[in-house]
Amino acid sequence: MSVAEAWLDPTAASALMARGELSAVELVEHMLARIERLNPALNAYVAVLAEEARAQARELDAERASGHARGPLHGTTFAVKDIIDVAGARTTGGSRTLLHNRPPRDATCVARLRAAGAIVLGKLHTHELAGGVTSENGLFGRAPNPWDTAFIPGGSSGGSAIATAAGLVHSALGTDTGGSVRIPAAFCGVPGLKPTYGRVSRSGVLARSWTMDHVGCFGRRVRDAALIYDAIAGHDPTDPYSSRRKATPVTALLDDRMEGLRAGVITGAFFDSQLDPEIGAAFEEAVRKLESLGVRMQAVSFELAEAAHAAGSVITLAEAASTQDEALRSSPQDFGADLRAQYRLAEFISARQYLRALRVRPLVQRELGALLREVDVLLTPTTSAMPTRSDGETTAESIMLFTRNTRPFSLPGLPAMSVPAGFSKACLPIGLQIIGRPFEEATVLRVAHAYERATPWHTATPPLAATSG
Amino acid sequence: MDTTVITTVAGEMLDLALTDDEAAALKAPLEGLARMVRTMEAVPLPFPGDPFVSPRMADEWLENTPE
Repeated sequence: MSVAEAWLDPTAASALMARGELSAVELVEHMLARIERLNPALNAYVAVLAEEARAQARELDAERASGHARGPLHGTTFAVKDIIDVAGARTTGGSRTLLHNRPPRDATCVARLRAAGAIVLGKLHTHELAGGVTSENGLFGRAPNPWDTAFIPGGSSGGSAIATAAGLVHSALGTDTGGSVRIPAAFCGVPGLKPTYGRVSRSGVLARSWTMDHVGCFGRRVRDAALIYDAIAGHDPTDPYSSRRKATPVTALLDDRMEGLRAGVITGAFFDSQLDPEIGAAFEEAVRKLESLGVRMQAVSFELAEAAHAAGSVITLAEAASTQDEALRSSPQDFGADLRAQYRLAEFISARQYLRALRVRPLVQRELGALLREVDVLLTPTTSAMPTRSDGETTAESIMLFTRNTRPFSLPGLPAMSVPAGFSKACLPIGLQIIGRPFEEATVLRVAHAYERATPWHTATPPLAATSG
Repeated sequence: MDTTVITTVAGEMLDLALTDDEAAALKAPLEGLARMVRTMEAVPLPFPGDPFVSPRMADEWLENTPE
């Protein structure tokens, strides 16, 4: 790995810096140059914090020169979805309602990454208020799929996936309510992890759905996502739903063996009936590859999947409208048409229906808990459909289709990850979803890492971003 | 649901003034919502006297191995 390729790999960049062959300042300048060159076409960044990043890099270089390095992220770069606070920078959520929102403090996840020595490069495009899958908003327009700009990148954390895939940052933070990390990860061809509910603090992160929201992370490699996860996981008293359970580092466990691990391949009409044949073929190939690595496969069924998807959708709609209640009453015209339509729809959900959806959640947890006593992980394709062309609009139907395989696992709060698993004939990425037991992110990441190492998909880079330097 | 009914329910029950076009645009999404609700309601719930699991799986989930 040369200095000119340090944008590809934070672990390699970290090693170069440790040997004195690269400084954090040089790395940041390199990244800023890539952003300047490629972002106009990709629209991944909505704000680049160049001066702040340079200042942070100088401090980190000085620290290293004095003999202190903070760990594997020291001097590497990250960026965050524009619903996550960075002190002094605007958090707009891509919404006119938050045009002047400039929080004074970092979100807890940002503060933890800074403390680990990572440098924040900027804020990344989001679908308005994390409320859709096409990554469009009225403030910053649309962000395209880096593999083919005529297609959507997925969302709502589209900018996070695009920037990571295109090498405009080493790693990125996003949020996942019904699939908003995993869907863009799949569509943009990068690993994306949604940890267990309560594992990563949401303090300083705009809410979409209080009982469904998770902060997650993207990397160019599974290892990159694991490093980020290790830095941000753990209890935070400022998030009332933060788990007190001790967070165990996962990166050191990535290379543990696969032999004896049991995986459940979820089958049944809900997952199969609308499955794109190309995705189905890639998924079957991924299952065979994992089997060849020593994973024991068995078919399992998830009877409540459709009800879980429905309940998760009802909860998300109702809670999302509640988060915006004041602005909806005072200035509904400030929301984009798709968000306004969602919120209007939510007005018609009765209290009884919302509570019914909440009461379905423990039943889903019980069923998946039983399945996950038989197997260590569950497998599905991340999405059942390929990305659509970006000239359409987000409809309730499109959200339902793209979240079909992800939302049923968001409802119970299980850790889940998308890892690149091939390409369609049109050269658009396909994702494999790995779901684990609560708080067993290590197992999910280990399976993803083993699969990544056994396949070539992670070595591909979107054509327009492939030039080194 | 007929658009007149949508407009009436919105105005009378939800304090939401809708134009005819806005009410018409809600027709298909409301049908989708009704399908989701029917799907949810097909799941038998535990006896209502059973302890209610809090709206977020909450304490048991979040603190199942306290530090």
